[in-house]
Amino acid sequence: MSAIGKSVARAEGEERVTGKGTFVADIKLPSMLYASVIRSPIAHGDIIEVDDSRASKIKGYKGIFTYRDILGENVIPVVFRDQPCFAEKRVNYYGEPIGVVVADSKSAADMALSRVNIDYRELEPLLDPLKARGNERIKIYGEDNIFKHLKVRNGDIEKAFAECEVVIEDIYTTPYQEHAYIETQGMVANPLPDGTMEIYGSMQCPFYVREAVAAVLDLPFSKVRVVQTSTGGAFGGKEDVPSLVACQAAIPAYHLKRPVKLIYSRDEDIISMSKRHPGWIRYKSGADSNGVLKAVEVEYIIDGGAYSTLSPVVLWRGTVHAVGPYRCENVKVDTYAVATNKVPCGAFRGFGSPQVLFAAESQMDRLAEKLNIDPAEFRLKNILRTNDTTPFGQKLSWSVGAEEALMRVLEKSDWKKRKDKNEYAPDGKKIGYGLSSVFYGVGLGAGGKHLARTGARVMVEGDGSVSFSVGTTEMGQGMRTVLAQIVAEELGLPYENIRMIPTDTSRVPDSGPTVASRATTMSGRALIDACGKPRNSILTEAARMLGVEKHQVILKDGMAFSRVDKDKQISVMEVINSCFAKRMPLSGEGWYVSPETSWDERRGFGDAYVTYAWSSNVAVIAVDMDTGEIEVLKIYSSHDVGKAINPSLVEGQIEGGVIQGLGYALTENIITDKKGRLMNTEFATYIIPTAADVPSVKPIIVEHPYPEGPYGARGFGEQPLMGVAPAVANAVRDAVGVRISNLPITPEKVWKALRKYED
Amino acid sequence: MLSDSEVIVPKNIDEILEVISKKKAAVIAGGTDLLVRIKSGITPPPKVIVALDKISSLHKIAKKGNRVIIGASATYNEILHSELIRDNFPHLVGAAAEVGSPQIRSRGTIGGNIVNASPAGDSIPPLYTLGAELVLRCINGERRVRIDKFIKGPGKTVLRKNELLTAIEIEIPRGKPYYFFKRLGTRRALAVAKVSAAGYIGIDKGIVEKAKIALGAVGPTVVYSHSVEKILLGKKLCEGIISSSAEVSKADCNPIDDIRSEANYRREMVGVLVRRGLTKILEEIDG
Repeated sequence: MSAIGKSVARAEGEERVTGKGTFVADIKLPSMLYASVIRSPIAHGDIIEVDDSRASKIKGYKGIFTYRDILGENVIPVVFRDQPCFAEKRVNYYGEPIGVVVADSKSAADMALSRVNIDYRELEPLLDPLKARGNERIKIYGEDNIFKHLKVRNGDIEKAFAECEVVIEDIYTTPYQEHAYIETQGMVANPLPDGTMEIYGSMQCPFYVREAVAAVLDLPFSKVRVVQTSTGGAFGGKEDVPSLVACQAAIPAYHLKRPVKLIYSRDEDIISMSKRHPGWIRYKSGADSNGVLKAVEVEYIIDGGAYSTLSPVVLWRGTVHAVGPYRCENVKVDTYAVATNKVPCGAFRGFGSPQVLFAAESQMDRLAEKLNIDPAEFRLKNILRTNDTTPFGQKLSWSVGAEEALMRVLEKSDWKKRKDKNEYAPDGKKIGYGLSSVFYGVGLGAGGKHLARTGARVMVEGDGSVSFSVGTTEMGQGMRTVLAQIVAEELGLPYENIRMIPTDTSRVPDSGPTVASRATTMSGRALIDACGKPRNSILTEAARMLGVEKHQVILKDGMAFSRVDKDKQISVMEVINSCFAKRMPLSGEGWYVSPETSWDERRGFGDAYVTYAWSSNVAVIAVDMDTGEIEVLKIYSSHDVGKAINPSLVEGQIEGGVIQGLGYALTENIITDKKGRLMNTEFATYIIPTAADVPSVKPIIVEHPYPEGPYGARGFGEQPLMGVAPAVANAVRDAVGVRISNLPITPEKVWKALRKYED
Repeated sequence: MLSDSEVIVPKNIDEILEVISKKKAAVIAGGTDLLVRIKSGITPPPKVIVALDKISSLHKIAKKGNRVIIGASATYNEILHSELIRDNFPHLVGAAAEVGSPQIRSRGTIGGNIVNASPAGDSIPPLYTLGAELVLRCINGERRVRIDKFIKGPGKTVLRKNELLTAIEIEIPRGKPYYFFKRLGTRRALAVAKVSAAGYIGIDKGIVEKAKIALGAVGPTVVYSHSVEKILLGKKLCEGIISSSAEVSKADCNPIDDIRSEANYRREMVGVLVRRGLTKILEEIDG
């Protein structure tokens, strides 16, 4: 292969480094107006009146738009359709959108916003999901404030626990996590004279945006065109919520018949956009004297916030991943997505699994410790291998690289040689090693199988340059580069010839969302399909020009060779020129549908995902015994990716995910006050890692090909974040003997635990 | 809107004093506090902003007799790169190096840090230990106020509306002084201090003859730890003295729970930082 497995430079690298203006904030259209969003000043209550009479005196003011200006349905369609675009009477979270004001400059719109008067009646908010679940007095959703309850049932849990040599039970909690993408949310809505609404903006899922805009404007899908602009980070935070932003721009644009731009400020973005769900996990697990994981019982609650949005599917992934990458025959898992009067939580790298995996992997270490065996050995004994069956009843017939991923990380980190448990750094800090093993179901799986398809188009020009379109999006993960490598490989052309056209709903059919680490596998396969027709023309013409049979032609590195007589060769460029002259078809359309998955929701059983990525992590840390501060020295992180189409991008994903995982492990949290207001809505107070906090990250690539994936590749982009927090927690225990079961692991918590431990 | 503010950029100090004697104006140096506060809506945009940008004399760091005079507009970077400061007050350099990010250190000024009067301001504890004198000028003349008399509470100082902080004057201690600055943050860079401590110890013939310990982010203002000073004076620095100093320092602060940390943790960490700071000095004396 000539283009696959090579670390070619990122397609948009130069654009980014030189700061070329391709973001939504750079768009300026003639007669464009600017919107600012009117937000609820309370977490729970009723809006009595919204009055813009003082705002209307501002120069350049164009008007206020509320739910009354919605032409279609007042809904942001995700799963249950319970979230309005603009609140009508009841508001359910602090910062909930009530309407927008529009003016001819952003500063005038902001000034108008500050003069909008909201008259409201405040109600007691429900902020704690444990109190919200089944609350008799306050009802946010349905009768019990439960958006969704899911379960897994397997074996006989009572009997199995009775047979265990060791059993550990504890409660774990995990905080909010803010995506902290560098580019805040933003959209431009541009109404065309023919009644089409064009939307440009930062997003992961153009087809979600299209559905939402069509719903509120009562337009057919064919009259809404959504174009993704360069997207400065997403991490799940631009999955469902850009639909809100797009509608907030599209509604006034429709009425005013002028383009409307809406770019969120950072604090507005943090206050109102989705986050990782806070998690509460009661975890009980047991093993027998041979070190076999016998039984796992989990109760897992996620704090969904005011509306269901993606919570049902986030919960489903958490449910499937609750036991971790191990065999276990006796399992009882109950999970709940609960409504509270807080900002709706949604998708974030890992999608409901990092919370429960933090508990699961802490438990694995605690069981090993109680059994007095090495935590690596305990994991190796139980880890899933090819032909094993998962705790939720899925037989894994191929491509399970979990064991190799674990072995490789142990080797690289010199895990076994680390006999001396009392290791100190030169500065007197105590060294600790921590291990975690995790897995990730690639793609939407049975939870979203109705969306599991993708389209693609490829067009080879007469000059040998190629453009292609897909329905998935580039958000910094490197999809554009990887897909161009696939097209280059299929057509035998140099990578430099291939260019992706920005994702646009008018170019390819609805391809589902760009989530669940699915872009490489899904769009990759659709592109291979789309390349079929031009490839056939090239092969046919090359065969004629070389005087050989078509099946004897190989395309490689820009040349067409004869398989039998290597001296016979011709440049693909010449072949294409000839195809073009002969009016042979050089463009193609492709389509790919994911293999079948299944899930029996009553029992919590089935073939949940088509394939899984596998990972192990070793964290090496140093703990300051006086202050409780943790310095992370090294993270070894191995991932079975099937096939690394671009190894350097795979390593980049590992490094980035590890750092984001360290923020989750050590510092990140959002604090709400008693009234449900978010307290730390800026980067001075919401603490993400800086370059100075980044340890040495050692990525390890494992390749057990996924037969359905393009060249054996499978997605894994979310996985690097997922195993970091438990590895760090396990390392803290290893270093100083304390077990922290509530993220983030702050110096204050470690210090308190140390004092207790010493007493 | 900031664009509605009148911005005046005077060419010399007298012009500034003239303006602030007549108008209620906000003086802006680096803008790393004021602009952020205006932008996030905490401070309403001032009607008049007086920018110090054009006045290079306010950046000057110079020695006059046995005093070092730091212009109020000296940026953290200018302090970091000043040999005069590095040779005489290394703990002030240490503190300046901890402030914000490279961008903030190149814009933010020592005068701004003082006038902003945050208990977590990094340059303030070292200046407390040095008994820095602040030169406050107005159209009618000048007065001098010691830094600990200047700061009254979070964001509160004795600076009058018609006054400008023009310089910080520090007497160079005689003999061989020893210094430390230690702090804890929520991460390893770009973090406001959770707790900080600075110290100045003067040693004569092996005996502590001068001691000033200042604690940051553990009260409404930076505070002195007088009990530590009492323990140290007249003694020979040793491990035992350091341990008792660390212990008593905890009683000299009044920390709170906030978004960055917790009161009881902060109180204990004061002890840790004082111990580490004094231990560093002991090593320097012995080394």
